[in-house]
Amino acid sequence: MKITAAFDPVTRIEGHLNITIEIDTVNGVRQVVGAKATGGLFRGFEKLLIGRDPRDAQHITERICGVCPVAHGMAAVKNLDAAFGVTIPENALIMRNLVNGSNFVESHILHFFLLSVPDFIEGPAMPPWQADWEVDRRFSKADNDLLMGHYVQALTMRRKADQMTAIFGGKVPHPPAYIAGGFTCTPRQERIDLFNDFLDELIPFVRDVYIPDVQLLAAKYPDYFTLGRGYGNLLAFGVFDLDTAGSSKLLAQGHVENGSRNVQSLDVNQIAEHVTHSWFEDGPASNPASGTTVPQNPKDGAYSWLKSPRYNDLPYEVGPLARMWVNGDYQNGVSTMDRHLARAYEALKVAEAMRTWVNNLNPAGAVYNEPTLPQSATAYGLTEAPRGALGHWMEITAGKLSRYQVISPTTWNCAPRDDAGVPGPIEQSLLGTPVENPNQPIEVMRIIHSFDPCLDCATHIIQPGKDAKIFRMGVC
Amino acid sequence: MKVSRRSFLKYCTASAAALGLGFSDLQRLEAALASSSVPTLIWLHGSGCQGDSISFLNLFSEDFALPGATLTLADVLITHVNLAYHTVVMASAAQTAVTMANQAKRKGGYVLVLEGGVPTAFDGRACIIATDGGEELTYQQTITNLTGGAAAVVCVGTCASFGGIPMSGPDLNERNPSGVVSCPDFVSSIDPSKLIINIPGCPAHPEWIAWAVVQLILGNVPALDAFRRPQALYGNRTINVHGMNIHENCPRNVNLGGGNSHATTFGQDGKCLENLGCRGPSTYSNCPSRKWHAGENGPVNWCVDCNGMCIGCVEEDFPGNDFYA
Repeated sequence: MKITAAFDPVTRIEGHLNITIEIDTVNGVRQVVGAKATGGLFRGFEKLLIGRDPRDAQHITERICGVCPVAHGMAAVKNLDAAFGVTIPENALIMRNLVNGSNFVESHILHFFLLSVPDFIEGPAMPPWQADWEVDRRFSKADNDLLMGHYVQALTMRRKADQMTAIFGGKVPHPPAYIAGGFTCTPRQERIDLFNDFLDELIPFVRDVYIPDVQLLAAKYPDYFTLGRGYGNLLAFGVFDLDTAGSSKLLAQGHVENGSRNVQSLDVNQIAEHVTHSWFEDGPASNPASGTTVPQNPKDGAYSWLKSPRYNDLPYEVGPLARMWVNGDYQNGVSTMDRHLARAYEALKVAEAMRTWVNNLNPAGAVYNEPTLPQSATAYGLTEAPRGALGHWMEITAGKLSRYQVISPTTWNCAPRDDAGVPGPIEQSLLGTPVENPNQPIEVMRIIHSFDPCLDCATHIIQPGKDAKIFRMGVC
Repeated sequence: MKVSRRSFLKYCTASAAALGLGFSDLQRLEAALASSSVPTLIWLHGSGCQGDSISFLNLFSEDFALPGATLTLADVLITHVNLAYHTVVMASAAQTAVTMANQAKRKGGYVLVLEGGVPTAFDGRACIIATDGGEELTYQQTITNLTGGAAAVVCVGTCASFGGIPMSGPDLNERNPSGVVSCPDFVSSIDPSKLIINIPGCPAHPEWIAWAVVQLILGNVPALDAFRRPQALYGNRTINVHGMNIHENCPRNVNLGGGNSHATTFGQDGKCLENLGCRGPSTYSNCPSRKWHAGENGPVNWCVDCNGMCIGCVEEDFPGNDFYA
């Protein structure tokens, strides 16, 4: 008998996401046979930006997301640098990377310990840790206590990583120091020294606590190396430019199909957003540089407020696993557990790279080249948020913003079906997942969490409608 | 993990100046914590970015009485508040999570913390936050359901306090596309007498949020300004326009002398950013003195110290129009 398992909200993600799950018994195994992902919040950032000074894009778009504001600041200033035709000083390149890198490590620590570990351990019997789900717990009391202790330690370490973000960024969330043409902060020696002091603590935590804990989890839950695979199509815009021309990056740009180890180069013109199953007026799939967004709701066959971005007409997963795979650092497999492992290894790679970068800063060097603002321009800025590829596209008319489009990581991962009816990456990854207890579908939670969804970022202009049935199952 | 109430009191003693507590406040706090059950918080997320929750995770204060011992967010959560509902950190999910909020609602007397503005267009369906007994709940409906039993409402961040980012936009045809109203406007329409405290900021400073929680544990009704902001944190500009004005208290203010001068471009240390668009002259908070991101060795930075302009994020008209002059 087919069961509809309603769980809403799914907690420990950022933002409001609804997922409809159907569970049925197939070949004697109770499993997920259907999944639909739906966004739960509409703010309309693209509209809020129209008519603003282009330079404001950095400040406004950072506020798309309290968890990955830095990546939006980075995408916005890369976008503006391109539109203004300005080359930034080396110091600015490095500080942008240090602030973004600190946010990566902070976000990865937050994601594993605070958002994911509670799916596997028993916390203290009081809010906010009391789960009331008693499903598939495999850790000994000693290991459970170890992980809970590390959860508390992670609270401190992610706070310190945010302090690192603020050393050059000013504050976080929403650092003010990103600016078209460079960076506002200066790399004074005491800031370099302070950043190094924090790295002395952060790198050992990632290396000696975070990574071993993910490995411990992987050893206890090896079945999650086969659960939550999805398509295996992985895409990365690349991040952490190593030269001011952006020709070399710590984590490269590229894509692979179906878990291939043959990494292919990326052509941004092959990105198109489909709207057949989204609450927008039907139209041909279009690149965000020319995309239109006309809400229509209700609309037959539509169930999501997100568009469905596709590359070469295929759904692609984005995130640390995609980045590490494309860069050749991790190609073990595509699964729930591989996502956790790749994320942890990436945290160490970025943390160690920051040591080199910070010591390359020149306290006496320039940080800013003042750009000339054009009356009209089109441009885009590609980077990576902690949870995957992020792109901003814009158009300037009469010196003001006339178009701004964002494709966030979670728009890729939580995309609805496309024009051909092909499910989005998370939808696909849930199919076939065995569910022990339909009232406590912990397996589904674990797979969703491995993608680190951030619905705050999924900002497309969307119009909610009256079809309440769509929302019965949700993730918040 | 257990942190004693004594340790919390030590934190409050050590941090008394920062939190604006006097000796009698501390005595009352001790009595309150000794005699009653911990206060319950129901924390809802609406039209916002959840950055205030992330900011609150950065709460730090050193306990000077016990070398090496610190009070962190974990300590606050474990010992001093009962965080019944907060979707970013809570372990439970789905109906189990919603049931926890419902249980707190039945007991009453909770503090309702609101993060994010209230979208009212499309019957509030621009923000759907949960399903309870098969019925979807919008943020708007949930606030309506929870206002009556709340001892107080704390609006954390500028989107909750004033509408903020989702309410903005210079283009009159494009602005506020989801019909956001501020939480105080919405809550007051349900119960005009409800105690509402705004803690604006984009994000709110973690110590501001902690300050509000401590005041409510104490049963204090803090003095508020015309926009429901605590005067202890944001000043009272009608009485003293200088007291908490960021520009007046900025170490870069040219009136201080000492060779201070105006910046003509970005990336210059020590220069006043007023002529580039800095909103310090029209913004009121204790940022220049508290700074941001306190840790074992003090705060590490704040917007102006990294040569970033103050963009007026605590003000009721934030983000307004163009930031740059």
